[in-house]
Amino acid sequence: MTKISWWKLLSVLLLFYTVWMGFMGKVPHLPILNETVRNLYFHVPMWFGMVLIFTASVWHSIQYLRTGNLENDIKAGSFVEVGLIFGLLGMVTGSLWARYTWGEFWSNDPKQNASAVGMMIYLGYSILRGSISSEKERARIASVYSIFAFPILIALIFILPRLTDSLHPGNGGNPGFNPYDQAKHMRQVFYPAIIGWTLLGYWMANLLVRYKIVKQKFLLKSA
Amino acid sequence: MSDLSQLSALLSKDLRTEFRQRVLTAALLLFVGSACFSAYQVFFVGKARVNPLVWNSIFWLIILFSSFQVVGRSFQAEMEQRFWHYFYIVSPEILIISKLLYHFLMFSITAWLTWFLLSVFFRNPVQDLALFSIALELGSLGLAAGLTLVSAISAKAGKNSTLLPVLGFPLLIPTLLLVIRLSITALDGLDWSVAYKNMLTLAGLDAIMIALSLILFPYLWRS
Repeated sequence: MTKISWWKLLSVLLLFYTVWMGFMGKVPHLPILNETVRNLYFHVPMWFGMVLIFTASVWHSIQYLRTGNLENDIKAGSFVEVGLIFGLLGMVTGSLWARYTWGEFWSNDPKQNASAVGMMIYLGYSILRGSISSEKERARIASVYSIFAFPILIALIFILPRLTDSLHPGNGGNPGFNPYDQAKHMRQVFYPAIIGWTLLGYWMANLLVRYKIVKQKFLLKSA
Repeated sequence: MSDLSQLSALLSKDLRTEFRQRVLTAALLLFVGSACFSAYQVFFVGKARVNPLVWNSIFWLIILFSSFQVVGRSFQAEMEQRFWHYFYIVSPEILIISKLLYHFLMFSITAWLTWFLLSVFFRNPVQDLALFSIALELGSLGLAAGLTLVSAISAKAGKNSTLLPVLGFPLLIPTLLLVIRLSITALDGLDWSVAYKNMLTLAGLDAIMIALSLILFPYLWRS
């Protein structure tokens, strides 16, 4: 009998709730936004999930430099891979949505650009990992790069857009989440959606880590 | 040897090797010169004067590319040929500070040279010389802070020419965005109060990158 972790169950339940409410729930009908406001439950949690997952990755990189435990490095690498998937989905859902509300797939919006740069930083991280063959060297060099890049990414996503105009809510004179605040019931889906998607990401990373550890043990045995 | 004399010895060694290998210095000068001249050929269509905003973009792009030219070869001796020699005689903190200073000096020199050459070809559109000089120095410092650790990482990984641009470009974007905004204020001759926010943010970003380089380089160094 396999034990079911409570958080995996929670993630599945929350996501069922999110998807059901996302397509069937009531949403306010605002000009321009109309039904596209439902994207709030899918697009925005992707970014929250990505930032949280990258944060977890950096935490493991710091742990690796402190302890030298290779398991931390495997975790850091896996979290980045999952974070990249979240980032890609966030970008696709965002630009599809932007096509019908802002008019273009890509509107040169600071947050859109920042997310693209974030993806480049972590794709560079993956390339860096791929180009070093020695395990310990790879772990150390990749950790150093990841810790150096993370604050720059944070500056790019959270600080720079506030200095200029952005089409996103909460920047350059745009109201924060105020339009959504008019519909309090949307929050009852939005917050569970963030938790659900992030837990799903953690679950994916967990599977990836376990797969990599098993693979490594197998390689050691067969060698 | 005291820290300070170590630092000055390392710095003067870098500068002397730079200027003794005349080919390298000449190559850098030629790079900047031909880049400015190409920009002049490409952008000076007919008798139309180039827009100050375009001038600014050309200026920072030339500096960005020439900085990769400088940084590309800078850690080779320390990481490859004479690694053990340096490893036993200097502390990593001193080494990274000397490299930061060296890069900062080289970038400043190329930036002033580019400014001069572009002014010769296009006229000088800068209205507030003092503010532009500050932007130029803060920008050089930012490029040095961002690229020094990254060049050490790519030298350590052993694939300098492929990894350096891939890892470096995305990390430099926040610095570039800020410095471009700051120098536009100088080009337009606006009041300094407009520039303070960008100036402080840029200085803060520079400080964060320098601090992280100092903290992280020792981990990269010991192998």
